[in-house]
Amino acid sequence: MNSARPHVPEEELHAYCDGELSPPQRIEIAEHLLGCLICRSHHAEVVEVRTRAAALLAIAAPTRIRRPAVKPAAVHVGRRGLPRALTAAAAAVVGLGVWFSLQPDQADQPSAQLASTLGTPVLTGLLGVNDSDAGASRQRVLEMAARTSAAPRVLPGRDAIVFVPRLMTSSVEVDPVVTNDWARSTWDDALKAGNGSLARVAGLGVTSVRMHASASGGRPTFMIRQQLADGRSVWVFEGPVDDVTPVNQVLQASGIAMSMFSRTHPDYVGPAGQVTRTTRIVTVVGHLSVDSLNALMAKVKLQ
Amino acid sequence: MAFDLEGLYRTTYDAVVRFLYRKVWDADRAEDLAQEVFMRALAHQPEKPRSWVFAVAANIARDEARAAIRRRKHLVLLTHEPIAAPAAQEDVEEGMDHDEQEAEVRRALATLTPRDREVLLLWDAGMSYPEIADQTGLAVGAVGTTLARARKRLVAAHDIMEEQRSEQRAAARS
Repeated sequence: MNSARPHVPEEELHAYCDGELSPPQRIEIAEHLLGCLICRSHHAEVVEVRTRAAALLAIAAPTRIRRPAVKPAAVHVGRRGLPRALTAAAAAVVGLGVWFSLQPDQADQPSAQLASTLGTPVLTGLLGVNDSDAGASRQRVLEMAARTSAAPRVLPGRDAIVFVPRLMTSSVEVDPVVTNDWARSTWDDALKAGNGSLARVAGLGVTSVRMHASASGGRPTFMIRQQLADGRSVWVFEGPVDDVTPVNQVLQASGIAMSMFSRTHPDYVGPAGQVTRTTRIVTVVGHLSVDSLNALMAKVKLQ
Repeated sequence: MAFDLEGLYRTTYDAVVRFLYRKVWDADRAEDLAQEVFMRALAHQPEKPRSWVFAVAANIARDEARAAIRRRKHLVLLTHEPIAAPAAQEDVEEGMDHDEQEAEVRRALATLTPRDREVLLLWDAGMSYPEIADQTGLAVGAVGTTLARARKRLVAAHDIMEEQRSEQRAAARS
């Protein structure tokens, strides 16, 4: 598909915004949108209609939903014994996103947490094996977790581990823009380079920080990778508008969605007497719906 | 895979309550019906639990609507006493504002065809196009068309109501 193709039908734009198209279709439409002013305009209208419809439906919802307590589901142990019980337990672990409470004093030792948690009676009980066999069962759980593509993740600040399917994270482990120009950095160094101003989504852990020298001569462009509770990653881009816009065009063409832009602290660059103001913008991108990214964007804070 | 009620409950319960609420317009009743849905899920242990709970929720809501029509005949027998204690004044004002907004959305939703409304509510409940198609009998390709139409009509109907409301307020002020 290119800009000379017929314009994208409205329903296809809805499906595009809803994330219901295949990656090749998404790329085709993203490329077409880059070159077609009419479709970009239609796309903006569709985004607005979607957002407004969602906002209206949010009004028509109970103000508070009470959730009756539910006991953890008992895991069925099949007639074939342990292998089936293990499968059921692992499936339950993956499907439920089962949380295992941890001791507070272990909070800064993820691997120790995991080993300790896997040895608790909670899980050995789930597995249907004797507590005295805890070491072997721990090993079996790790094997099962690997076989069912379950990745244990320690949630920062929550004193808990969640198991998430690796499938949800495999496509987002690589930063969307990785070239030699993007230098890996520590949070403190980036904060220093940003003159104490770094954009990130409040409440999410930061898993990596990259910087890219700014063409305008001001603060660099920052790419902060953060992790959602389910293991998926989102990236917060913050930098001069001239540097961030082309990055986002690349992302859009690759099928990664992005949030609305927002302005951040401007830079004033240039020699005395000829100082120019550089507009800086921030956006959140990731393999999520635009609505979700906009919601995350609303939580972006400058530190 | 073993049936995972707790996982289903954790990931779907709120969406089912919202889905039912937009059909029965009573928060307590929606919660009661949602629990009925999950009780049935536990007994039935469906293979596609997410699609299944919304299909059952839709059926239960339909039965509920029929029962409500029957009950309406008896409403005249009820007393006029308030069901709950009156709230503080500021809560009432705030509640009225929210109630007013919700009533508008409800009326806007009522202007949609049943199929458009169903597709919109299922989408809002987090179902994918194939899941919606599976439940409604539409072709997957038609889900996008239906959803586009439903969203536009909902927004347009609400815009008209807002215009009418602002005209009425202006008339009342003058």
